[in-house]
Amino acid sequence: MRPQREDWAAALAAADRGKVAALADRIRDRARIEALAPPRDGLMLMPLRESVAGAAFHLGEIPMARVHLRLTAPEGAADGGAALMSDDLALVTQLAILDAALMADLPEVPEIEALLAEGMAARAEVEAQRALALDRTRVDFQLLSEDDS
Amino acid sequence: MSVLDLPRLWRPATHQALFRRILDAAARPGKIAELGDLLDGRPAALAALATFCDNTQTLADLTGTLSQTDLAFLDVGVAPAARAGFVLARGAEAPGFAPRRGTLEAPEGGATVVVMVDSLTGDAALTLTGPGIKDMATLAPQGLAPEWLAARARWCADFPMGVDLVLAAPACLAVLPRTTMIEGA
Repeated sequence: MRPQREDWAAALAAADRGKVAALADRIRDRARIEALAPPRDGLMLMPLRESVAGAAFHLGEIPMARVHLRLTAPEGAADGGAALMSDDLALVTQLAILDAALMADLPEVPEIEALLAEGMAARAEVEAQRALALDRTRVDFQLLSEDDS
Repeated sequence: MSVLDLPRLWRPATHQALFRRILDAAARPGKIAELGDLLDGRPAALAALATFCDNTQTLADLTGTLSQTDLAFLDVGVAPAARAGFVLARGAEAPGFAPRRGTLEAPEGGATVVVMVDSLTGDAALTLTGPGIKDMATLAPQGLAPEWLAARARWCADFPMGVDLVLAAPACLAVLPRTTMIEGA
C-alpha cells in the first residue's frame, strides 16, 4: 500500500540508494525537469516546543536540503518536491523526481512503489530496534511509603 | 546524477557578471549596461532584481509580470510599495505610489525603483550631471511617462534621503542614483 505523500521522501531515502538513483536517472533522461525554486542545502535551526510550559526554543542546527521541481514527460506532468534532513542535494533531487513521477502517474510507478515498500520496511525495522533499545532503559520507580518504614 | 541545471539567469556565475555590469552602470549614471548575452530572453528588470534581492530584502511588483517561480528564485519578501526596499513598476504608467526615501540617520533605507521602459534610446534626450559623470551624459528613454521624472524630483528633493531609479529596457538598463541631476524632463 502506498504511504501518505509526506512520507514518500523519508521512505525512499531509506530504500536502496543505487536503485533510487538509477530509477530517477532513467526518468530524468526521458523527461524535462525544471526547477521551481532554487535547490537549497545548508543548516537550519530546528524549532521545538518544550513539554512543560509549551515555550518554543531552538534545539540546534540540522542539515537540510530541499528541491522543488516540475517534471514533464510524454505521459503527463506534475510538480514534485522533497525536503530531507541531509546535506546530500543529489539524493534530495532524485527523491523530488520520484515524487513528481508518482504524482504524474508515469509508467515507472510500480517500480517506485516497490522502492517505497522497501524503504517503509527498512524504517519499520529501525523503529522496532529503537523501541527495543528504549524499552531497555525503562525504570520502575517505587516510592517508600510509611508502611515500608 | 548532479543536482538540477538552473536556468542561466539564476546561476551564480551569471549573477556575478550581472553585478559587475550593473555596478559599472550605477557608478556612471547614463551609461547603458547591455545584458542581452546573459538573459536568455528574460527581461533586464528581472536580472536587476536577481542581482539586488535576497531573503533580507522586500519587493513590491506593481507590474504583475513576476511569476511564482520568479519570486521563489528571487527569495525575497513581498511588501506594499510604500514599505518595500525594491519596487518594480511600468514606465508607461505614472507612479501612483510613494516609495521609501530613508531617513537622515539611515538614507540607505531609500527604495530602489526598477522601471520597465521600451528602450533607453530614441526619445527626447535627458541631460544628466552629477557624481560619476564627466561634464554631462544623456539618456533618451522611450516608454517613460513624464510623471516619473517629476515624482523622482520630489522623492530626491531632501538629499541624502531619496530613491534610486533603474531604467530597464528588455535587454539593457541604466541607473539614475539619487545624486544625479536631470534636465530636459
